[in-house]
Amino acid sequence: MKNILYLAFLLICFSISAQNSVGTSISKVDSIFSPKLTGELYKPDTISSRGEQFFNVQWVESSVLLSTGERIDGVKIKYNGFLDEVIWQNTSNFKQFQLDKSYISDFWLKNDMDSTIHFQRLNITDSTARNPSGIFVEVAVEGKLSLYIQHKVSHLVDELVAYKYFVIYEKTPLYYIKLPSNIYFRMSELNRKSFLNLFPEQKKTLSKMIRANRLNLKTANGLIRAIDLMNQSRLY
Amino acid sequence: MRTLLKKTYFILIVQLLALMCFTMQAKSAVQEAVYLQTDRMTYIAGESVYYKMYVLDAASKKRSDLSKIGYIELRAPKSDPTLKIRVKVDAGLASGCFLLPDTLSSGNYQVVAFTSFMRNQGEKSFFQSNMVIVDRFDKTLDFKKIKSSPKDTNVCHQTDSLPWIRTDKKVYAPREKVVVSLGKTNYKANVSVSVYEESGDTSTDRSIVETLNGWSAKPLLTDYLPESRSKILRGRVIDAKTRKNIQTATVLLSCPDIVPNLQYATTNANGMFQMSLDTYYDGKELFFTLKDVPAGSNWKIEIEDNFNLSDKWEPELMTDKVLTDSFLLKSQDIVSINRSYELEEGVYEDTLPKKEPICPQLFRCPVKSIYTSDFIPLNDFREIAVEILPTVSIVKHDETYKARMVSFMGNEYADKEPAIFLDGVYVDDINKIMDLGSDRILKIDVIQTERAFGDLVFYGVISIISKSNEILKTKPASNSLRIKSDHSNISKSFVAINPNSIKDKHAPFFSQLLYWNPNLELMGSDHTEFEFFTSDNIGNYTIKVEGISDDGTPVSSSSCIKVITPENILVK
Repeated sequence: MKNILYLAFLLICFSISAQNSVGTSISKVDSIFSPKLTGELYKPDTISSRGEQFFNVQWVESSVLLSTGERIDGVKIKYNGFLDEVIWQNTSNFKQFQLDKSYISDFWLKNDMDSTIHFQRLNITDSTARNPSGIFVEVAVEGKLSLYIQHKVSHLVDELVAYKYFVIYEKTPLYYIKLPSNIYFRMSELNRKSFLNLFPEQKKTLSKMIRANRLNLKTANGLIRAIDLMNQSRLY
Repeated sequence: MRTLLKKTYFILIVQLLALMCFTMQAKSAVQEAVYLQTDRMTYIAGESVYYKMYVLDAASKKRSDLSKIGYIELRAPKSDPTLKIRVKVDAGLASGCFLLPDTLSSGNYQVVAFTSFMRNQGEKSFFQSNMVIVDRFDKTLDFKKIKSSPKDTNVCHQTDSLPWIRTDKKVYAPREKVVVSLGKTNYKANVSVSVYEESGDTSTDRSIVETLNGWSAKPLLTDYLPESRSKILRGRVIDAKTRKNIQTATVLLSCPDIVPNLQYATTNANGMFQMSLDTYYDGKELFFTLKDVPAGSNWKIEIEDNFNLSDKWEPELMTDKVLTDSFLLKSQDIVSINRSYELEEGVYEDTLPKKEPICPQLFRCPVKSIYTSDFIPLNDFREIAVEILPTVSIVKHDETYKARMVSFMGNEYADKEPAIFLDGVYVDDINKIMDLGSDRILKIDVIQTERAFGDLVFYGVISIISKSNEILKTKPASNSLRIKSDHSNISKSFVAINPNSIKDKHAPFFSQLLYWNPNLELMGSDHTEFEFFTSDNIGNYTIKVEGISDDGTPVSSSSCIKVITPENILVK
């Protein structure tokens, strides 16, 4: 009986693998002829600093969706929140390149939990931006109301410690709420009052919802939960 | 101990059997077969051939979603192909038409249809069918018929396979409406329908059922990848003198455009390289060159022709002429009449939505553009660099020029030369553009920094757009190659003429093709109806339905109608 089961198992395995060869052929074609990333040489800062410019300190295998609609998988990138740019490590020469921003539509960073964080380029004009091609934001909630988080890093005053200057970087995230009418609200500080002020007509209902669900709107998680609940209850 | 040995042997045998089974299945799982239906089998040079191509999974006979490109060739005996047509395949189907040149001489021709992926199975697996093409002015018709066993001498016949074809009548008058009903089938299918005048020669006509039943799995190579996205161009880099394969050579491809564009591939151990050419390259001049060729070497790029057939077609001909001359003479007259009355066969229209091609741009970052018209006239590129390109330094050494980019700090030069692009094309040598003065240059884009394009690194970029396509006047280096890319055949459909819509009521209306629909969907549960009009051409007409069902069953059925008139209006 054992032997018969073993035989059946082997045959099933092999038939599945034979059927998969069509998919294998296509993925082979896709990997050989995948589009090319383009960018200019990135030279990391050598000045001593406190704080971190990058959202992810380590290089992580990621997927990049180009503005042409083509997708590239398995590239090692880091997101630099200070420059608001994606840095790519070319594994063939180990040089680092700052990718052409307008060429990137989305990218997905793998995190430690083996899940991915989805970033998207929004065509929002930011007067403080170095590059006019929009901003990169994390897609926190997508729905009728969407929430995007820009993991911005700011340069604070330099600090002089023991005759040595240190550049101080600090995370200064910005939150963008997108309305169905494609209007964006920006929040730099998270609190209940500024959130309610964005929706004056729904203020009472929102207050009830916040109380009922014990939402802490001083945190990003609280804001994400609030937007999620607003989408679920069709408040907007 | 003996039991253990027995068990071990048993497991080993089972594994061996399973491995054999796997190998056989893997070979048959990804093989493709092609069937091509044309509207007729006999044509007059200058007429259009309407076709429908089926790309099928050879094992299941279902429509294959693997290859997106198909190839059709028309060739005469012992000759190179007369026509080469590349078609776009969508979910295993392609349809359209191609024009037979007026200059074709009378004789037998062969149509060959295949996908690039089928090359793994050998050329014998390609679809092959014969047709007769006659020159409109050739009244001698001095050619012999291909030797083959005639299938049916009865001109008008009804097959008993599904779907049943029923017409409202069997005999029609000229310019009368014909209503055809295709009976219920127990499956959904996509079929093509052709209604054409029977030539009396059915010997070369093979149905989809016969073709697919005669198809057998061939030994499988893995050299050719499926063209699942776009056309794949294959080539080789060799030493021109020794013909030795060159490994790890970088082949660059770009084409004239207003933006610098690039694609590259690296040769493998056999000196082979492959590039994917999407619709962006259709009909364009392709410039191939090699990057970083060692000094003194004599490397050469060779491109494989996707249409290449290794053997010439040599059909066995009958000893005497047996072709039905009267039919061919009548066909010639009909074409001549239609030409003189400027009556088109039908109305063509595009059926496939066009996808925007993607240009493989070298950079997509903001750059500072310099327009030469903003400055005083400058004689050559060296003067231009000195006067208006502060970040570019050009030095002359041993009668040749070299370019260097100045670093951001302005105090040092890059080690290597920047990439030069002229009219969007990568130029391997700056000396080729040194003659260009501001009277011939429209715009210059300069990127000072080191840039990556995939795994390639360029130490700055100088992109020049000329006023009148100067790139076409440059002489290619020995290690460069210039070829013209073909176009994929545009999908066009046939629309049957309604004789009531002809303005001149006295104008003759002769047609040997009354109806052609390459994409008729049979819903299975219901009848499918279509209609068309007969013409002034009296004769026997075949209604031929061919296609493939969703579950991979080949569909082939035919019927006939007659068009008669009391008066014989045809000029013989």
